[in-house]
Amino acid sequence: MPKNLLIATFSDPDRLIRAVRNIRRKHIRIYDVYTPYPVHDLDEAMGIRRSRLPWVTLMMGVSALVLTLLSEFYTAVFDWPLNVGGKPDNSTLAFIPISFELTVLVGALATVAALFLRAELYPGKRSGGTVKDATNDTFVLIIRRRDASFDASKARLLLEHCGAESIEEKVAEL
Amino acid sequence: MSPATTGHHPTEAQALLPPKYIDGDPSLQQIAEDIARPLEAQPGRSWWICFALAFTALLNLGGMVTYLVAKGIGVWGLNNSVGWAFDITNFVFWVGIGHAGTLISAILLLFRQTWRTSINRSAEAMTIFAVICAGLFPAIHLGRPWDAFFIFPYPNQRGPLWPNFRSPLVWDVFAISTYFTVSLVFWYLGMVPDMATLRDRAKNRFQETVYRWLSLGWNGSYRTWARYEVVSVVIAGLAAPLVVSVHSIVSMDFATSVIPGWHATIFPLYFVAGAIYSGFGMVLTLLIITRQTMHLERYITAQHLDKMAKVTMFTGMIVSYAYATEFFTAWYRGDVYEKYHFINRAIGPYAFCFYLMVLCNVLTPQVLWFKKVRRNVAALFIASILVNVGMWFERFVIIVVSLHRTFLPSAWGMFYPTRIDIGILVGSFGLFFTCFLLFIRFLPMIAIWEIKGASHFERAAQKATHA
Amino acid sequence: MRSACGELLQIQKPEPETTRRDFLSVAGFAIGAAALASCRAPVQNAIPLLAGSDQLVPGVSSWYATTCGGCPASCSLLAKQRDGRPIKIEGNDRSTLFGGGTCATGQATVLSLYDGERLNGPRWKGQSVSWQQMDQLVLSLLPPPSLRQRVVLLSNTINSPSTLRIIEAWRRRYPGFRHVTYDAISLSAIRSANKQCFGLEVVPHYAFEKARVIVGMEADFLGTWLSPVEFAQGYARSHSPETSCLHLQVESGLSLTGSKADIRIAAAPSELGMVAVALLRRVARKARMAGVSNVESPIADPALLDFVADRLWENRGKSLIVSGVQDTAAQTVINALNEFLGNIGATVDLACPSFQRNGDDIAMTNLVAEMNRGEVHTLILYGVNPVYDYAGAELFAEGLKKTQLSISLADTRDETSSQAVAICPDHHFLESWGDAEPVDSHFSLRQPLISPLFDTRAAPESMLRWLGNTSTHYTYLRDVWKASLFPRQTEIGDFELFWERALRDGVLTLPARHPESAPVFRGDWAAAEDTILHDYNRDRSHLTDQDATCELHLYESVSLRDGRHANNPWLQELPDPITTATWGNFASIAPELARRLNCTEGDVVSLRTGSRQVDIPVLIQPGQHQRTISVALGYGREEVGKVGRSIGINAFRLRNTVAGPHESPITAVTIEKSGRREPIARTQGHFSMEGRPIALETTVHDLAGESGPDQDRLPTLWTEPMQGAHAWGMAIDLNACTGCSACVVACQAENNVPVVGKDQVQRGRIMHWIRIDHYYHGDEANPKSIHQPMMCQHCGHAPCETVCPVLATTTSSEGINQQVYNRCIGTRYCANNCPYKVRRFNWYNYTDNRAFDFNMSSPLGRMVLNPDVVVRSRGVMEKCNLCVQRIQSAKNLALEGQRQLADGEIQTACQQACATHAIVFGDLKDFHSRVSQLHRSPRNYLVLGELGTRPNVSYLKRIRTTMEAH
Repeated sequence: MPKNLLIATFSDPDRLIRAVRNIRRKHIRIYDVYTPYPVHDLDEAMGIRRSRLPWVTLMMGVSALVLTLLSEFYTAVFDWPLNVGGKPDNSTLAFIPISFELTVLVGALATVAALFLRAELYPGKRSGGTVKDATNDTFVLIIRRRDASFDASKARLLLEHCGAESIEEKVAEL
Repeated sequence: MSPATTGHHPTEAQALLPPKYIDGDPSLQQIAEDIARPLEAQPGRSWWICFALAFTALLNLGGMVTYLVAKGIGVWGLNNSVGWAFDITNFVFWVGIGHAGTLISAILLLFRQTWRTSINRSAEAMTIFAVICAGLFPAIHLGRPWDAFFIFPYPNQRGPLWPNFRSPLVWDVFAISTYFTVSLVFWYLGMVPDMATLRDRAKNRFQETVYRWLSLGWNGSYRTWARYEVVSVVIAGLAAPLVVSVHSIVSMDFATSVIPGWHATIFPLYFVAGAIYSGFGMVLTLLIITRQTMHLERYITAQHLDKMAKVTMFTGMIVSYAYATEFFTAWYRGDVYEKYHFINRAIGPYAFCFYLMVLCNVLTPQVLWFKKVRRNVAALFIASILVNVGMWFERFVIIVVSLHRTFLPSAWGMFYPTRIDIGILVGSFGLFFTCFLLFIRFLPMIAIWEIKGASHFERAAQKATHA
Repeated sequence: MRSACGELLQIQKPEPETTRRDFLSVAGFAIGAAALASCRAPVQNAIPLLAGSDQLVPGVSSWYATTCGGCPASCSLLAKQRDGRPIKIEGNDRSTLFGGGTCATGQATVLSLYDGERLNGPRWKGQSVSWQQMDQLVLSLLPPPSLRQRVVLLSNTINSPSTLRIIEAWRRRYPGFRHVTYDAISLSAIRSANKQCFGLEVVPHYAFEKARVIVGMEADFLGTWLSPVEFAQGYARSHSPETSCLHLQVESGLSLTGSKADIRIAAAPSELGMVAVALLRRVARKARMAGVSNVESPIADPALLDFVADRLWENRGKSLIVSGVQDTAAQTVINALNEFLGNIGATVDLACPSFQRNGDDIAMTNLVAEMNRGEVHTLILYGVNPVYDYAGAELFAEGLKKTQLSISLADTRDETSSQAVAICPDHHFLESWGDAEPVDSHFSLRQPLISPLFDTRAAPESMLRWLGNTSTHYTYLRDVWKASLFPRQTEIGDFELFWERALRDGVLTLPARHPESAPVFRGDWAAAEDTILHDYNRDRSHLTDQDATCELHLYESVSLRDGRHANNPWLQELPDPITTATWGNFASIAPELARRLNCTEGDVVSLRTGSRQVDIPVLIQPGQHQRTISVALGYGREEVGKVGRSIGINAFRLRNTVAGPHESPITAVTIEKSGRREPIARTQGHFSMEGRPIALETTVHDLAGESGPDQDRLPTLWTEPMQGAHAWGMAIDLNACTGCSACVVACQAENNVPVVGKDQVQRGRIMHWIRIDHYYHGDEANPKSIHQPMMCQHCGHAPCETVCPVLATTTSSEGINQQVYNRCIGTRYCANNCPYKVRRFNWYNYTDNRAFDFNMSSPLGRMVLNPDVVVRSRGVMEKCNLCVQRIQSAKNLALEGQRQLADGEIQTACQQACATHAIVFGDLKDFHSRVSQLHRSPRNYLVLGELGTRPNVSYLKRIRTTMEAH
């Protein structure tokens, strides 16, 4: 559903960062920031928690490792043990390489999948034209007006002060 | 990946002037323009010429492989004594090439090497295409390619009968396919933001749709950026051990055998070093060509070439050291078969391959000691070609020279390549270059958003130092 | 019987082709014939040896005793019959002469039966006619006896009592009849020498098994000479490691026998006589003979000759000197030697002579003269091919044209039969009845396993017809035995019983005709010596010392012999045991000569003698006499099937025309590089062991100190896996192995090993599962050499198994390293990792592939395939599996009989074929089995055992007697 937004654009990331800091100091919630590349010190400025995605990697990786080792053990020792060059049925050392590779494979795929789910990225998804230039050279800061208590003019002032290039209010889909 | 992750602080910057990896001071807009140009403009004549050549070779490959599968492996020069020759040589060669890409995109990322930004995209692309070429050979070298699926563990009516998890060939299958998948994912992941850029630059509806699908609706939201960077580091962390493991496993095809010249514990290190060596050779070749043909000198600068030359030299020397060690162990161990093998390498019927290999892999790197050479594009180009030639012959020496004279002299033989052998080798290059040329034509061969980040960082660094 | 028909008829209806049934796929006349034939076969009176009756059970093999027709040695055989088709030849171990062994040629004869290019019916002047018409035509043209015109039967050695009886009948019928015996490789000099010395024109029967000291002179008695299978087994018995025995071989080119000799002297043909003389003088002196001159022979090292002479003298009566030299004088000297050493009657039996080579060169020479004078009215050719192999072939061809009627009884098309007016094709020996008396009073019976595939008729039967005798060959044969052999024995009273027994056993030994009457030596050896000296000096003088002139030495190759089997792909692809060359012959020259001519292997040279010249590639042969060039006979056939046509060159053309009573054929040839190259397809490229411990030999003296195998006690990281009831293993005795290669062909026949052709062999892709490695050591001018059969070693810790990605090769619970064809995807990793390089890969489809047009690509040729062994498809690995099919069937038999497997009950194909019992297979779990005893022998060792591969196949060192040892 369309939202009621206050959109400020910047040409320079440093100004953006300054704006973000000031806005938050004024306890105004920032809806999101859009940048052509990951500007650093922003996460700290926006107070974003470190992502928990690495846990997915760990979980899936470990389970892949265990499952592979188990299945190799099962097939070679229980399901159909054969005398292969007089080697012991359970040649654990020989089972390591495959287990390792599968750990990496599953870990990686799971992580990326998790990212796409969490960030709602999927083929064909439309990104509202609202912040078009953010993928080019513009840095965009968006504040969402939730209720009347929100004092737009105050926010405008602040943003202008921080050197926003343009500021507009608009009801749009994101 | 933006170098800003390197947590650079002005204080450091004062200590030394940070190197500039982007010439001039292009605006963000400008960067996108430059990098997107090859995609939006019509390709130049040089591109078409290269493509024509590569594509012919690819067609030739198609024909040869069809003939091979129709007739049987007999059309190659193999025999009872030499069961592997060009097929596995090419396989190892191409897998090796791949490694440089992953090294650049993953390991250098973890080591926070800012100079990788402008080359990692194409290096990764190279990895993927090289692994495709590599994957071709294990498939077609089989006596019965149509039964290749026997290698995979799948439930079946034969017992069920599973593959032999002790066999290095099975390890290979898993290593290569993992390597391919992870590289592909990592490569694509890195391209998503650029796809968004291209989508928003799109001139016509078609482009727009295509890029929209590829960009997965990326809109530059910073919350996504934050997760994205974490994931990138994680994948890099997973890809890094692959660089080491894949070629180690390939080397075990030989190291776990009993054949003199194969049965050596030094192989994993030796092969990994060799892989990176040859890989960087190929990266140099490719980038030197593309920066000329695609006019990207501004982003792929002399400094990049210089860095890569240094890595090449370093790994080249590890390889040389491995050669020496092999001979030493053969002499020191005093095993009659091992000893004979290495004498045979040096003075046997295939000695010329051995000396070619030494020339290319031991002597060539030495010229890279000189800055003059490292800064001379032409010289680097020649060196990089030599590196590739040398590394192909290294694999040939390891495989064929070891096999053709093993334990029982009665079973000694020779391998002579047939037209099909050579045709398929050439064809594999056709496949590789066709893929690469299409890549630089239709995908951003430099990570736009990373360059943007880098330029910002460099501007910051400049400011800091002037202050 | 009927069920067999059922099976075969049902097979005739087309059904989806699968490799399993490929061998049965039925197409074309030949197959129809074969199928029908096999319904009628075996002819009712044939008695299988094992099965007590003539019941033919589908899918169950039965064995028939018969007699080999491969060469006049006439070995007794057992032929394996399956669903009415003979598919395997084996030796008949009931034969007191030949034991259970066979030769490579004998093994391959079964394939010749299915040669689609055999003569398939009677032809008159090229037109095919019916047998009736043929008989009428022949009878109408045969001269009336009254005219006393010349009717000549020209045959090779015939030792069949029944056939000889028929020939007698002809002699009685036609006053002008004459039987001329002509052998392409003749021993007439021995016969004439024996006539002079003992008054007996015979080839004696040599008893190698009794000889402790053997001197061979240009006689390849282990490979091709006279009766190799018999001699090889005798030789092996006398050369057992326990007895310290000595074998000296004097020869110009390295022969199989020479490669086996303890000591070998390389001497040119012209020098052989001198060596004999030198020996004779030494022996004569010891024998206190008067007037023995002390002149030294310039050829051999006197010390060596003294040594040999001493050994000979010590072993009087237990020594043997044989010579293949076609020179009466030389043979006289040999006789004298044997006489002085008391070998006559001991190791040289003239009382019960051999009938295996009766050729009479002089009679042949005269016949050709007569023919050219137009005096011969009718010429019947039987088992001979003089237009190809006679020294004066052109002359003979001329004469042949001058005869009114020429009839060929050949069984296959050849140069001679194609020029005859009438061709009355003979059966293949597996289709016909017959008998043989290879050695006096030793009889062997031949019975058919299958009715004729083509419209052929037994040659003896044809000859009977033309005598007006209407009885079948079978009844005639039976009557002959009833009349002449049955009375000579007292054991069995009833002829039926006697006959049945004879058929079952295949062999019959009767008391000697003339009880031991030691013939008296009347030879003038002094005169013979003078002749030899004179000849020697003459030859020296006209063998001028210019580099280009050499002496020519023509020999029979182990595979093709005199060339009659040239169309047999198994034999064409059988590596020559000495050179490992296949598909063609070559000129062997000494390394030293090669350097002088600056030739490398494969350079084509022109050999010129008189007006005749041949171009032939050279092969550099260690041990070759420096001034002698050896060329194998039997190649270069033209009128033969597609397999053998113009393979190699016909060296018979280089034979100098033999004329007159003096037969010493010293042929001087000039050799000259032509500049062309013609690579030789050899299966082994390197003949030095490079100082590696691979094929080991020792001396009786050193053996005392040896403890036996220890490598197999190498430590292992792993606990041994569970073992089944048996642990199959093999022991190969390098001391017994002569390298004759019978095992190679036997394996090929048993295991459906494909023939790949010259090109593929050159590419190093021969498919044989067992190969005979040949190594030289020592001086290249006259090296010591050793043969080593090499096949899958069935490692306990097999390197090939660990690396196979799909578990296509594993170790069975009984220790066999097994290959699972339908699981194999052909990575060839196993072959790469096999230290013994015994694995073979199917680079192409070798079955039903026009590119490989050998027996497996023709429906008829495929009938020889062993139904118990799957035919491998393209792209899979294969190798020796210790004849697992034989193990299985033996186990099944034991199971049916509710009994334990007896040791020696299972014989692998290679083991069975081996005349010298060099290969022993058995259960290593059974402490008392022969094989485990051999594994404990002090001579035992493992090849490459130090790799920890733990082979189940082990080798026994060869023992060599040397001068130094004494």
